[in-house]
Amino acid sequence: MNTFLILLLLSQLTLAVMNGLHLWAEIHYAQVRPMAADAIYPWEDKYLFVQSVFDLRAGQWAWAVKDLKRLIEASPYHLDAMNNLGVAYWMLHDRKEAEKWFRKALRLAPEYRWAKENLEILLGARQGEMNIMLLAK
Amino acid sequence: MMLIILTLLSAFIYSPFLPEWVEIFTTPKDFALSIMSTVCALTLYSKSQKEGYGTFPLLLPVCIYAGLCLLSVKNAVSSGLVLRQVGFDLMGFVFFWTTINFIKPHRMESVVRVVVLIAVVSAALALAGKNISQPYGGLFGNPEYAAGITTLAVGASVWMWSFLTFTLLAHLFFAQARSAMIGLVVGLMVVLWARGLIKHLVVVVGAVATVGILAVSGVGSDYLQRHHLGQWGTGSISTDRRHIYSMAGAYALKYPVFGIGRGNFQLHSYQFVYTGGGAVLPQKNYFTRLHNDYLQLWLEAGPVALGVFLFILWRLLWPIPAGLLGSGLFIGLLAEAFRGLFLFPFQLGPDVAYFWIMAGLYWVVKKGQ
Repeated sequence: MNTFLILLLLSQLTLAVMNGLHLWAEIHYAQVRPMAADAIYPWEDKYLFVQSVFDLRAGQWAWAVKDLKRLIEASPYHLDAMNNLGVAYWMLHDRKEAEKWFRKALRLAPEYRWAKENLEILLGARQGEMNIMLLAK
Repeated sequence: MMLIILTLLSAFIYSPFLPEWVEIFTTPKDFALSIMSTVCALTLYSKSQKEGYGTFPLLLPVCIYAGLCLLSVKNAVSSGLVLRQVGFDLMGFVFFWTTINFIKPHRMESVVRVVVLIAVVSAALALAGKNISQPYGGLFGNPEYAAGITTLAVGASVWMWSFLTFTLLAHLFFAQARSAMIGLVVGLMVVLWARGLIKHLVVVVGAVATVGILAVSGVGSDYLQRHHLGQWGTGSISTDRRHIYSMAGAYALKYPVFGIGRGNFQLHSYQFVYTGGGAVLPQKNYFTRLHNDYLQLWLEAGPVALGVFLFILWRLLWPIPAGLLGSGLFIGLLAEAFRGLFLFPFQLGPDVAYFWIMAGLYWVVKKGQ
């Protein structure tokens, strides 16, 4: 019974620390509005996503590719990450990789608007700037 | 008793000093509640050292449940999320056991009065546009509100009670707290049936029929159109729910034993939202939770974990104790549990705290008889 109570205490302490980190991270990243409204943990996919958006906005395309690839490995259906990875490769002038990631996103979700538009821009069928996905508020 | 009151008050934390885009309805409350649950766990531990082990009902099923949830890490994309969610699930039980061990039967009515007072103040503020509790229907679906109303109402004259029942149902209907409304009705009907109060049962059925007629007639037609009759991707949340429920059911069959990992649904939710035509869904982030706690538990931790959790709920709720307080608490608890079929109360800190504290009071009432 003693062991059980100690484990129970540890579980709640762990939860409190995680929630504290969560709250700190939201406040810390709140400057990058409107992204911080979602949960952010250092070990969670959205942290990597936010980092990658920082990188994209700062023009650090190679770092964005690195973060997004790690993210997609952890979260294989993350369409926004695939879209942004395509954009990062486009900015690195790697058309082949960019097209690959846009098409991968569209294979999972043919109606996914942003990858569709970005692919059209890549293929020259549409004018404009590529869409980068941010976490919605 | 102060520990319980502080826990309930911490669920009301509203932080206007935080940047507006921080999730103020969830994050600060979850943090405050987890601090309180740590204090409660520490108090339980230190009490056990001084006075011997207290009462821990449903200990074995809770341990089995937690163990099964931890085993779900096998298929999890993020083990961190598994750990967090298991801690969160246990938080409710910590409040449950703290309430049982520190609230004595003779203090029960005082505690319920304080809770109902908090509920009434919060509901009044919500109606005045200052919702300080949480955004999902405010406190309308929470157990203490139902407990307050039904404790006052059951046993009063049939007309007074009918009026209060109808008012409550209409209020919830127009507040669009649909699952809470239905849950209260179900709870009321179960109690009335269990008590043999057939006249009251007839009144409830009449009230439900009236609201139903309002809903399908011109009064409620916009509401129905918006919430039930829309197509996938047009923002009709009810229709969209049917789609993700059926996808979740099929998805769960791919992970028949351990599930996808407790707390990991949000990492899979993109697939649910973006496939099947859901890419145009205007509220795609709305479905990072499955909107059915039981289905999500099955998907995340497997059918055995769901079965154990339902067993815990059944052992908690049944049988209904005699008396007004027991009836009122039962109705509120059942309403909240029912709400789990269409929303995610067991994943919201304030709802979890309220539910399991009320469950603790309910247990004390039951065992006191």
